[in-house]
Amino acid sequence: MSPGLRKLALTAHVVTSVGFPGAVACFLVLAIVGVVTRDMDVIRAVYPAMAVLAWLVIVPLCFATLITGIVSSLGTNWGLLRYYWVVVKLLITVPSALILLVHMRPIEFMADAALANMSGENLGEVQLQLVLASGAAVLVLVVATALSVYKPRGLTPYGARKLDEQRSQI
Amino acid sequence: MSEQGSESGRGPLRRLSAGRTPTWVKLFGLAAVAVIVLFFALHFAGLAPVSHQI
Repeated sequence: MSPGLRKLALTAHVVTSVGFPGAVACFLVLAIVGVVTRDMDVIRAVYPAMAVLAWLVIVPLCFATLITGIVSSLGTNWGLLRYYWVVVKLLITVPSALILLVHMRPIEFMADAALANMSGENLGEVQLQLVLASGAAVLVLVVATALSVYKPRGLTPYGARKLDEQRSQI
Repeated sequence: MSEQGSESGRGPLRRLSAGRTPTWVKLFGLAAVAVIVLFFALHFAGLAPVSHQI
């Protein structure tokens, strides 16, 4: 990958991977407001807004983070499986994307229930689920961001083998 | 990912870290396993707020 292209991929990755926890934090705030408020007008506004935020911002950012991260790592010497911090970030992001998709159903459910004046069973349970899941997601994404900044030491066995191959070619 | 391969050119250090899994990775793995076990324990105890009716 050329230096210009590498910087473009890195910029896209930084923008999406920093925006992702920010968008989830906004979702968390809305989820908390939905739980604590007794105002039906606020509830009718909050849950459909959460569904829009999730479909149009969080899901796209999640997959953009994953794709730009893979492109950035494969286009540089960091590689995708050479350093533990990159592998751990991948292991955080892929399950996060899957868990996010699983949670789209309760998000849609709550948006529909809010528009129907909160008629339905177990709404409190679903509301709490959305708060806890988005709170956990913010924590996990902050850990992923910290890994990118600190880049803790550690080559994987594959990374060590690749480095030895590169050295033997010099 | 702006810095390129920080461990290249540090032979002894690289061998040290390549030979064994770093402590932070072990701790991270333990924490992940603990969270998963806790989630399923709460789930089967009926305490995890997971909606089954949806």
